[in-house]
Amino acid sequence: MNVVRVKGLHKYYGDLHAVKGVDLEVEEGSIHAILGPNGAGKTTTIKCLLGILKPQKGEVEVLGSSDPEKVLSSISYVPEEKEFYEFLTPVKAVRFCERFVEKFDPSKAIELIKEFRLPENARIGTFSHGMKTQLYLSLALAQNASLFVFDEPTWGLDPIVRNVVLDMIRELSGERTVLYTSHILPEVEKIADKVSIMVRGRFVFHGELEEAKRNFKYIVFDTEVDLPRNLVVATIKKTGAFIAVVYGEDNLQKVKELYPGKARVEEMNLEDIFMSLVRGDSNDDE
Amino acid sequence: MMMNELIKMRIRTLVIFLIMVATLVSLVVLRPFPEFVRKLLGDPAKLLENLKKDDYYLWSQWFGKNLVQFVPLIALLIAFPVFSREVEHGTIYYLLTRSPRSRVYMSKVLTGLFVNASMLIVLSILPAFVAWLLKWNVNYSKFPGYTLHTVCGGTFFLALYMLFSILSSDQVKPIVLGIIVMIGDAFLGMLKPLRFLNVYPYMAGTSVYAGHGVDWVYTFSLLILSVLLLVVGWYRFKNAEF
Repeated sequence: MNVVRVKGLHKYYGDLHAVKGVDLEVEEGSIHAILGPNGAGKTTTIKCLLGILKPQKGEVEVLGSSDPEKVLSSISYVPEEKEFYEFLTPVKAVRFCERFVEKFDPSKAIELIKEFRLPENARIGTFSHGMKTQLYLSLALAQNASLFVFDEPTWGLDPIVRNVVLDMIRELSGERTVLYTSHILPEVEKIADKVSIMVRGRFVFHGELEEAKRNFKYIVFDTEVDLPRNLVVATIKKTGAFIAVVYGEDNLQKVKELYPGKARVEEMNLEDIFMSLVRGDSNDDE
Repeated sequence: MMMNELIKMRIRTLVIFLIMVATLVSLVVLRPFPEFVRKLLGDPAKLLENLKKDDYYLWSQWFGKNLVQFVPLIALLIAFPVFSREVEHGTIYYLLTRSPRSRVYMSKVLTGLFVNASMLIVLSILPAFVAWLLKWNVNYSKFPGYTLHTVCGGTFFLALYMLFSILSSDQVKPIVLGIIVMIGDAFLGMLKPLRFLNVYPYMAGTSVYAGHGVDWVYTFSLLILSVLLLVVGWYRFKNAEF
């Protein structure tokens, strides 16, 4: 069952076409990462899902409802800006959430605040960015939600805390669904079951990480060759090499058949895949 | 949820209240006017004579001078950050992704109306209590009228400033707009055809003091305008993007 379904979503900011007719499906119980460079449209897509932004076109369905407001009590969202009321202390913030959020477990929030070793009675205004992020995550993870939406949850955290947070998110999967945005590849590799790569307002890949690694290949030529655009994802020119990025066994075979004996196939890791999708055709000699 | 909004308002509410109580105390303590004030007034013999009357002194110096000037300011201080600060600080995301917009809007508006009205009711009744303590000869039957005028005027300003707060993504714009309205409203009163737009004489309870009772037409007009402003605010908030 899909917890999130998006079809043909378009979002403009004035003349800027930020999201260009995207489709997205997030399976129940999975950790689904939206991976993309800054400005790709990840946050805009998520905000449209949650009703914070109003899309100009397209269909959105979250937890079976086309009106996100009806299912807010089952969603826990951590935005890109992890800002909470600065005049409160963590303990008072927990009380605030207890009064405001329907399915909120205050004892779990306090437990997480202690686990992050945050000062319980200091004003949030005095916290560093990392501490504010940890507090926000404590409050968000204490919600008994079915869908957790995290927008760059580990940005600004030190590596130790980042790993703790990733473990916490990992533990959510199974019973809960996680939709997660990031531009940090190792993080996504560590926790995501499925990944959607977004570039310039469009999804250029949806699928499992292993599937991506299995299907994306480099084909390396010693000299520049002419390849049909429908067979390659991107091309990279390097000194002494011309590299084509192809997706799928069929396309790989077709390219090899065009230049028999001249093509050398190489594996790609997630970073290679991401970079080639984000950058598209490039000339590394320039 | 209203409790959360009350917590957010508590400091500025307390500060406003203390300033107003200090103002009330000062006008009682300063009676009769010190010599320098009398010199400033020149020779307004009639005014000085009237000021000797407890009833006139209390109405003119409190409702007609101090409180009436503070009513829009109190409304501005309560209303300007209600929405704009949430947007400016990014806390709006926490609210809107955990509660329907209608609930967020209602709790903010109702808390603002409640705090504003409560403060104005207390500040309208407090002078009556002070007068009773000092055994001044005042007409207590006029106080409900003064209170109604003050609260209705304050509600109108609050609704207007709430709309400014909704329309702004930072806290500076609603303050600037609020100050322009406060000053502009008084200036409009100087032009005869637009005199009705000046809310200050109404809020001062002039008709009540003069013995004409509550100005019901103006009262209902202000209440209808306040409701309209809140409805416009709701549609703007409902469709706003953050």
